[in-house]
Amino acid sequence: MCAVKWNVPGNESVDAERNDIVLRLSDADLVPPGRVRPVLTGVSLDLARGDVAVLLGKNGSGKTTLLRSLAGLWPLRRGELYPPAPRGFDSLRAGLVLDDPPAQLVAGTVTREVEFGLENIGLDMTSTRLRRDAMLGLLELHALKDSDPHQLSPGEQERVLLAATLAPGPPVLLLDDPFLYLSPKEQWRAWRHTVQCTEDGSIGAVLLATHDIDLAFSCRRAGVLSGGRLTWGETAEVMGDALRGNLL
Amino acid sequence: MRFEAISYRPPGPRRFELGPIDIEGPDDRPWLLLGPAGSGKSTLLRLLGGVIRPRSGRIVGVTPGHDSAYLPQLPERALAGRNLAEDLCGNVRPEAATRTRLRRALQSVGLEGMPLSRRSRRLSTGERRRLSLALLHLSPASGWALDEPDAGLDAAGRISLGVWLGEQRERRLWIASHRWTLYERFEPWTVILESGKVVAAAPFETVFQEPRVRELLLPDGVSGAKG
Repeated sequence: MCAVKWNVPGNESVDAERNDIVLRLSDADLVPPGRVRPVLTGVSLDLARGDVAVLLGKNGSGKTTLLRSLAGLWPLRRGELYPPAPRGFDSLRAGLVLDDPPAQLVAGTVTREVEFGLENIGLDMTSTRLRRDAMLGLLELHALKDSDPHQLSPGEQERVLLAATLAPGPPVLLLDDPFLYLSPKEQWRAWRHTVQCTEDGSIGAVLLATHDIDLAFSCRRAGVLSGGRLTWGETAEVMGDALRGNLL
Repeated sequence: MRFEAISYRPPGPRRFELGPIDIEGPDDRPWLLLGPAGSGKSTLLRLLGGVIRPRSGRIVGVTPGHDSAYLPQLPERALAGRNLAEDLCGNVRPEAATRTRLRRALQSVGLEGMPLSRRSRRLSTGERRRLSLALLHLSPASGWALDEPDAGLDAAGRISLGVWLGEQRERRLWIASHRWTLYERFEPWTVILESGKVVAAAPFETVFQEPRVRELLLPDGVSGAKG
């Protein structure tokens, strides 16, 4: 009975909403490659369709480790990841933007960079072009579309990466400090577009690692990393505790 | 200090061009470079730091590369040593590299207690940023050209950066950043760039009075406050 009730469209109950899980990590220990001891232990979190969540914590608290593990780049030491990542990182499973922009660029022009992800999901040429142009417009990249992404400034590269990662509409988008080199105006716009993509359903959910408290407060759910543990919940509550514990 | 008809064009097919730039400003306060991504902040700092040479024009009052050390925008990419000690020694003459000096440099950026034998690539991004700042601390140059030194730092890191830069009274500082509130108290001479050209050059206290500057830098819908 329960299962049926949960599948009724428009059901407003919180439980039903949380049932639409796009990413879940259960009681996991996480270790970067080459390290012996886990950086994070007993980590659990979940993201449902439509969630906009933030990941906070001091430098070295494990934000990057958590995001890379969620992306399937680094295998878990213990615990369970849903959806599983048996073949490691898979862009169909999750989109990932790292905090080292040049390291992720693969194509010779901005246009090709955005098309690359779309070809990976097997879109036909007409749809690829439509989606590509929409993304270039959204992130104001038309003037740069023939440029070599490696020749751009880090801030421009961040916008290119965001466009390329948003374009295929991943079920979950993992962002590791993705707006470091953008002006407040550019950062605000890039974030607005990302949230909008979550609201209109073109991506499933987004998890943003940042040190920006204002951005954090615009998210509904939050996680704070400290002492190798993750506290996960509603933003105001989690951030209030983090502030009192001097964890930010 | 003065930039005289400075221009630069990067090699390759990219259409970006800096300049010609003609600005003059005071020597006795830090310079703050603001502008959208790709507006030329880094190019100007790299010219100042002697990393690249201008196609035309000259900088008066500074000998690029001699009076100035450059902190790149992605400093962790330049850390190639096997451990912290090796990375820190890269910037000092060997006889100066006492353990005490290296430890003091680490301490100055909030990395006290971190062993010098720790592998640099095991540090987090934010920790590597701090390590790069410690490198500057050991550099003999009298001026620092800092390219977004606050990027990726947590609140504690930004606070110690702000305090630390405030202590560098004897030094000339040129800083590019998007988080200008951090540097406001230094009353910097502020240069606003857009597409390789100077939009405004004025004391920080007055530069945001220009509508063009507010429109360029402040988030949509914010127009009165300074950010």
